[in-house]
Amino acid sequence: MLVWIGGNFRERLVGWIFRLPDAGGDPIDELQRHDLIGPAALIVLGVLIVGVGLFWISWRTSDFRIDRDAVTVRRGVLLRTTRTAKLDRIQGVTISRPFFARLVGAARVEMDVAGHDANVRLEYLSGGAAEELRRDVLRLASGRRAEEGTGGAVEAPVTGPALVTITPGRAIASVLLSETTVVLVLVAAVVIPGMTALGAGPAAAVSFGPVLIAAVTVAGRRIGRNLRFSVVATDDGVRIGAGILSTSNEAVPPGRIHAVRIEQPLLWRPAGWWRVSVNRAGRIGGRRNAELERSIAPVATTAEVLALLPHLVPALREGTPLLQAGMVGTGEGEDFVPAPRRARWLRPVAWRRTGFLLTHDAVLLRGGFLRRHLTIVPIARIQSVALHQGPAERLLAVARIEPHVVSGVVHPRLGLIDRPIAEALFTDLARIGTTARSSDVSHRWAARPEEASA
Amino acid sequence: MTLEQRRTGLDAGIEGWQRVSGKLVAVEIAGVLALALLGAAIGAVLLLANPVLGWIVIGADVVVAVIRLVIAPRRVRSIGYVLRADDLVFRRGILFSRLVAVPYGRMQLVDVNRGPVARLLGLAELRLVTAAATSNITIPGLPEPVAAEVRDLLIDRAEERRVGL
Repeated sequence: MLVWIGGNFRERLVGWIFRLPDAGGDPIDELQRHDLIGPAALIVLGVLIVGVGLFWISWRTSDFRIDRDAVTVRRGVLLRTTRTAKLDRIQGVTISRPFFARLVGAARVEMDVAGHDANVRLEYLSGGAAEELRRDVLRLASGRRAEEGTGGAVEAPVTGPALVTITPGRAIASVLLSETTVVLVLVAAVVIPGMTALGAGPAAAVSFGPVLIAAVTVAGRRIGRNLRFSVVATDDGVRIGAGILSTSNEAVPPGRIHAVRIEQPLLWRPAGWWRVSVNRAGRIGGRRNAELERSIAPVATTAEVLALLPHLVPALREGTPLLQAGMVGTGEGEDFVPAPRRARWLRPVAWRRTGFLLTHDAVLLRGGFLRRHLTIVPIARIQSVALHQGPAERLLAVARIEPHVVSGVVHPRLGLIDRPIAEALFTDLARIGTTARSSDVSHRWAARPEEASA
Repeated sequence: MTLEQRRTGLDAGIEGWQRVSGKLVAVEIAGVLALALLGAAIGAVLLLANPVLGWIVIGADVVVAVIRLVIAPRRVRSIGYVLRADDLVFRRGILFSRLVAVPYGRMQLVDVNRGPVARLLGLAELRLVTAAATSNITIPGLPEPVAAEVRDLLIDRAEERRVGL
């Protein structure tokens, strides 16, 4: 508990302390000496009033409108801007509550749209209004018809089961079992005895101090984030919640996920934990959300991964055995196409795990022996496909396939595929890609088929 | 898989490859020479300070330049593209070969660029950009009228088959 409180408050405290002018010692003493307490207090009060007034004006002059196709936000006092985003282009809707806003029950709604600085922001609403707005946006974007006669009355929120909830034990253990910790311990185990042998033990221990403090801070922050992390299934995609003092809750509609990677560091294997990361076109500014975007589930159990993946990639709804084969299998199980035996010259160990599976709407790329990983790319989201072959691969008649997706932390690729098979996969992905895209209706995920194409 | 197949570059059984202009070899050669001159200049400066190192740099520079000049025609011959019904397929590379298929509907923009030497020879290069940073492809060495024609065709087809992200 103390660790995360410390981790969150530290930045704020440091900023607070260092922002004070330090000319001539304590500024309060200086003011007292010149008998300026009264004027100074007035100035501070004036600035505060003007600030609050400006904020209030800008808040009063912001408004928004949602219709069937688009959401429009107007804001600004001197410089009026009107921003309109088409509903089928919305990649996600986030409700965030920064700490101070949360104290007064206010929330910020942000709709992410692909493109640099293209998000539609609305700040600040009351918590209830923010939830209602998000529900409306998602309902209209889904193409689901509002029931006639209810006059757009809000339906009960349709939330499903929690897909990922991280227990405190797992949150802490997963961070302690990370590669960073191992490297740190190894370095400490080698460097400190080494230096002691050279007669510089205390110096080594002292020099190690800052590294340790930094590592503990980072670990503390990660644990803190994991502690309040949750993924919940709804009819309109998944909702990812995170944060302790400042919270955010992001709704990701179906079909907005361009690639998923699940991986298992070696130390997590006994516990059966996995990290799930995704690539998305929308991007939300801000430090916390950058972390959020990196992993959709920082540490999930195998069962949670199996429950979560079908919500991220609808094509995997019936595919639990496939996923299990992809996560832990080797060789040919569940129709995976393995790497040929001769590929062991290039990857002596990992070739056993290397393989792919092409389903009707997704391609699964499996690899990694010590650090197992599985990348899933919905075919309708592939932008282009590449096949690569270097000199060694040429000799062994293998090739590497790369489905290109929007940029992010996941880089889908799979080497060591038998060349004719790789060429066939390339042809298939290029061909299925065209049909999967034209029949893809996930931009209006809940509409009846005949409306979806409209 | 026969040895013969192993020797050829990747083509995924696609036929009807369009070659780029042979004049591209001249552009490549100009590029190689410019870089070689730069290397030689560095070598010459080093010669003043340390003759041995200077000659090593110049020697390596000449060897690399000769190799690149020898393979330049083959490199240009390895470049090919096909405009298929639904996508454009591009390939290039001898030692490291690469084959990319970009569906027309996925193209976000098409650039036509001309470098100084290419412009003298009436050549242009076509660059395609999709929403994926990794898929960007550049077809060099197209005669200017061909480049304009392909660009218009790509834009037309992209318009017809436009899809979301």
